[in-house]
Amino acid sequence: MSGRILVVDDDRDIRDLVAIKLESAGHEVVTRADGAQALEAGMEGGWDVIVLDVMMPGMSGIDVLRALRDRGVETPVILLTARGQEKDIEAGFAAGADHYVTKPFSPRALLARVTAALG
Amino acid sequence: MSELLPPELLRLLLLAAALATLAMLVTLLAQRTTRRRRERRRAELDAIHRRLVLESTIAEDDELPALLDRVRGLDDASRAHIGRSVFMMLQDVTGEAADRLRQVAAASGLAPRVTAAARHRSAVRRADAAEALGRLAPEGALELLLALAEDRDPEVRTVAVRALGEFEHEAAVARVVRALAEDSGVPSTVAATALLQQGGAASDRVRLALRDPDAGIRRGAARIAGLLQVPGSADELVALLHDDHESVRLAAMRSLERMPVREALEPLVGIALAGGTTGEAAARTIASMPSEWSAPALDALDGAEPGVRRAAGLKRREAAA
Repeated sequence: MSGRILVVDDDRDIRDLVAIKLESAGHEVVTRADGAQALEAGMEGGWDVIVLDVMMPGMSGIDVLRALRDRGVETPVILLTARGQEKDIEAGFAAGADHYVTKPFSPRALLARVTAALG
Repeated sequence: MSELLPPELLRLLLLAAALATLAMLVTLLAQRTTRRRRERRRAELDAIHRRLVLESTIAEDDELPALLDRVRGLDDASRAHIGRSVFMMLQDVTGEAADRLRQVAAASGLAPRVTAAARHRSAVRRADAAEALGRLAPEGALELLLALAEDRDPEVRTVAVRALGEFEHEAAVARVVRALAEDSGVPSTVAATALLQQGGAASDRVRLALRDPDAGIRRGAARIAGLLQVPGSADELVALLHDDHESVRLAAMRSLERMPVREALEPLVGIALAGGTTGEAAARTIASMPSEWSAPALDALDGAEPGVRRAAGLKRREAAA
């Protein structure tokens, strides 16, 4: 099952690694590099899953997620968090995240999460 | 009243100052130009080779050899660029993708450069090499890292111990455990994180370290034992509740919160009744244990000092009355 995925991370390497893995599995991927762009793209809608980095300068992933949920966007969100940042995970679930993956991450495991989120 | 310098000397001084300023400006300009040229060159190389590096992370097994051959066939500058890119990407990924990137790094010829840098006279270069050895794990990396973990420079030792966290070999675990020692010069948090990374492979050594003569090693092992849920460490943790060092006793209590043991309750009650911050920590550990075990122990804390009662989650005496 293929889907339209929004990938948000300020780190270009991570954006590209995630994008190439998801694209190799047949998904359509659009990337964004910061929270403000992510919110704008998220509000446009049409996403099956959003992969969202937590730690970004300016608007964090949690801020973006909260803003999306406040505006009624119910798209499944997978958070990318740094290892050892359990508080981010708690805050992410409180803000409405569906799953999380810790960095450094296995692109294969992330793809499995995305597939599961697509149902 | 001071005398003015002779006009000839003044002119010479002015000329020297002007020449020095000009030289500085030229140097600055040359540095900027070089930097810009280097950045432009990197951007060009990135545009050419980035896709190749990314594709390696998703390549099928039968596609990879051809991809690696393409890397080996590139010129020195391109292979050096690919090595740098792979090194940066390895910071973010694990699993199959990381294995593939390591193979690309090997094909780019990065490993011999890193191996040579491990013996460099500059401590900064040796520390960088230690980090790279952990991330790239080329052949012989473990032996080099074990040597760097004994480096005369504590920064190099620290980076090497952190990098040893990537290896589950018994020698790597043993060296990281030794880095918990008080006089190791390596921050205990670095060694503890490396042990957590080694996970189950570190269990046996951590359990043995609970009896180490060095208090720093006992403290670190006591803390890690609970986080790793080290099998067979419960009795040792209970024994550490009587350790001479308060920090070791506290670490054992933290782990017992994660690995509750009924036999710990009696000594914990004794410590809690003695009061103070250690008493409060003991009360917290008691309160974290299954209620069917902890109920009698909590009753025994009825007469404890207010801070201990609070830590145990007991009501204030006047409120309870």
